Amino acid sequence: MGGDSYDELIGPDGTPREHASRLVHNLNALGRDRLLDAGARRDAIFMQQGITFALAGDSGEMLDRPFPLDLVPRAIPAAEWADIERGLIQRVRALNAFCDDIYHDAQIVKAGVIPWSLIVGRSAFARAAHGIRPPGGVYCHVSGCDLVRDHDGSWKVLEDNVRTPSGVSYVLENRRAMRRLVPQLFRDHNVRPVDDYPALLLDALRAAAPASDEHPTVVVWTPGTYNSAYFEHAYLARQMGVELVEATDLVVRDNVCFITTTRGLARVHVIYRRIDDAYIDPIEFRPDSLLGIPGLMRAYRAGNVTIANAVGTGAVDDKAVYPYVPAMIKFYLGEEAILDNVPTYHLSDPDNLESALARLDQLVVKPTSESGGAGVFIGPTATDEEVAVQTKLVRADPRRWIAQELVHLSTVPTVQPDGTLEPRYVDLRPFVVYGRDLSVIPGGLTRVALPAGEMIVNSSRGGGSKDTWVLDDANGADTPPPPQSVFTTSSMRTAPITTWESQQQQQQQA
Amino acid sequence: MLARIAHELFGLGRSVAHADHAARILEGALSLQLEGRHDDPSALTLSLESLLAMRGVASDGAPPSQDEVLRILVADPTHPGSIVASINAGRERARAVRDVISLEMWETINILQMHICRDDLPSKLRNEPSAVFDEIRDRCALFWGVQRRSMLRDEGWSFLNAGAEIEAADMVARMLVVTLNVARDTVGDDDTRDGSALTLLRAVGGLQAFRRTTSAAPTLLRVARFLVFHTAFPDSIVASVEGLRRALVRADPTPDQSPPILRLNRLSSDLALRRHLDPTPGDLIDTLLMVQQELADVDQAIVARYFAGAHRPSLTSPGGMAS
Repeated sequence: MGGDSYDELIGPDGTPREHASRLVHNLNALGRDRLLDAGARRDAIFMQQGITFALAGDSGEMLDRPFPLDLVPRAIPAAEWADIERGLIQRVRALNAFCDDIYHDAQIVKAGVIPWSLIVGRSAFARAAHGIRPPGGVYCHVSGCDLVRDHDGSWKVLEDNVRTPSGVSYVLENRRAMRRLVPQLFRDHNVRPVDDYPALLLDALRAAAPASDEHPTVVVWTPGTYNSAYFEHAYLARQMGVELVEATDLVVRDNVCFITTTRGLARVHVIYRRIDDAYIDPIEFRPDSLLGIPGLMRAYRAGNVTIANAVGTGAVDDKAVYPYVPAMIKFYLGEEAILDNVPTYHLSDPDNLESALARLDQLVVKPTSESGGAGVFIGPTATDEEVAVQTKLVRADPRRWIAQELVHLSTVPTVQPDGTLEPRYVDLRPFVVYGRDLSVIPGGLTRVALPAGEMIVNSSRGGGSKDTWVLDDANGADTPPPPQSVFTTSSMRTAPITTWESQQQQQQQA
Repeated sequence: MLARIAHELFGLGRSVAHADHAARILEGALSLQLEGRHDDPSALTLSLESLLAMRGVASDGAPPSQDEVLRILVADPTHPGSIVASINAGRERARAVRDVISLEMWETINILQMHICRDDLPSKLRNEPSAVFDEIRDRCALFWGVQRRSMLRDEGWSFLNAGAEIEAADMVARMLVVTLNVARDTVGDDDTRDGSALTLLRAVGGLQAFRRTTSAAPTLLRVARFLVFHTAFPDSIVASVEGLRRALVRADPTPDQSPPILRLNRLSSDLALRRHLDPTPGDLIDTLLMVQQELADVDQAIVARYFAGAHRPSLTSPGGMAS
């Protein structure tokens, strides 16, 4: 693994990459002990502030753990970020156009670019949303596209999230915590700020309000305190200064949506919902949903309330649709995709199926219609037995699966329990907000797989996160080489975490 | 303001006030145990049994041990009146209103829960109970302190305070009913035994206030009157009732049409009248029972008027209103 992977701070010769040289210098100046001290303070502060996520304990009970923020940031130079930003804006524009298209004329289908059966066969395709065009034609108000960096340093889109992407609260909290815990690392850097995100989001949501004489009332809709992302829902509501509501607070009368207040009903114009389509209205979707609001879809269809992200966006970020995104960009925008996809194969195609099954131990296989790393199979780290099981699963229903070439995730030095740094795999989830225009929050959430060799970065699998810096050119002077290093030189230079590679070799021998 | 959020804030105020008062009462009672007055049959103490009686736990004959009482009243998360149950409930409520209260308020109650509601609580209660009670009192005081400084003075503020006031009045009333019941036949104004009187005062942190306002010795009856009627003492029942009334008036656009406020107006004037009747212990008990009943009715009226849309069933105090 390590040998093939691109490290974002350290070059192949073991010296810091140019944009990271000051950061590496600052890390060395900080030293191992102070890094460990800051880590201990971080855990205490996060527990006190309840910046936690629930993780199942040994005996199955749910425990609150401090959200694991690694104190070594990931740095991206401004010039590189400019390309990512353009690529993301282009991609979300196309996804938004696709969403509008499939719930109206489906021209992309008529043009033969994407088969209709593929779109309409998605469980997330919302027939109830047909013909509804939200104000401004915006469907994907908030998007989070997961990016990875291949061994040659090129950025690729791993998947799109345009339903209710989460994680942005950690971007903001991570930055706040980093400024408090390790201010020394910021020295001689111009790090682009991220804290105007709540204002950006509120503007976008207000811009999406249905035309009305009143000042639009925006609310954040959470499934409740037991939802694993409740911290984020409350955080965003607080930061935007709007009400955080649950289904029981909302009521629809005469196709108009209201909240129940201490003084009676008050009109709501925009609902930033953090709950899946299936649960929002028991009349139109799942009748067993206790979380939903009866009549909400009627109010939505009547244009009296905006739901963000729009109903039906789940059909757009589905893993089965993903391979067509470059074609979408071409079709709607007449441009070549700036950000590449990872090569992906539909297993419903018999040729793809056979060639994929023949080399399953080299591929990543993902179920469609799932999110959050659930059901993902990584061939190169799987045992023979697991490969056999997966083969059976895929054969049973090939349409449920896609196969992807393995991307050699990039690495970033990450603090170990003894205070030294070792490379760990990361991905990046930048957030795009679509209001009157599109904007991208600088950086985004870098997720890091903390166990050595682990490639799934989701926090449910022991993943942590890193602050992500977009660096404008700083005025600082060139820094001298550090006297003493917290980097375990061997690991940084030769990247000896060979678990993955050796497993691959074993498999090839087997 | 959302009816649900107002309801949660009201409950949060109650939870914090409950934990605070329960810790004070227990500490006062325990310190009295140490001084060994129980060999005097006429000594009036907040006995361990009466502590249980306050929370509606029936005694099965044998006098309960201190460990047993602390387990039930402090550490048992399943007993609805226990301190741990209140703190857990308070933290859950604070979590549900995190977008409304300040970060400092949330942190205070989150830390309180982290420090107190732990597996080693029973052993801490055995070894250094007052350290536990101190921390609870300090954290609760900090909660109200940061609330004063950091919370917007809006409806939410009013409902949070209303919850604290109604709980304070209820706790003091319970404590007095139990103590006076034990003493009702033996106490007069000439009674100089001050054991339970001092405990009562300590339990509400009112010893100094009493001394400053009253030159006479702190007998049980004088202290009880002080705790019911003294308008300038913030934890007296009249002061809490008035605080509750003011909080609701502030939150209500039409207070003169509000059933809970009208009830509280009546209760206030009733208490002002009874104050001048020179009550005996029996009269005081009647007054306190009346207050408890009125507060239970006010609680229902508050739920009906302000929280009608909220999904939780009618909120009762962590231990249940006037049982």
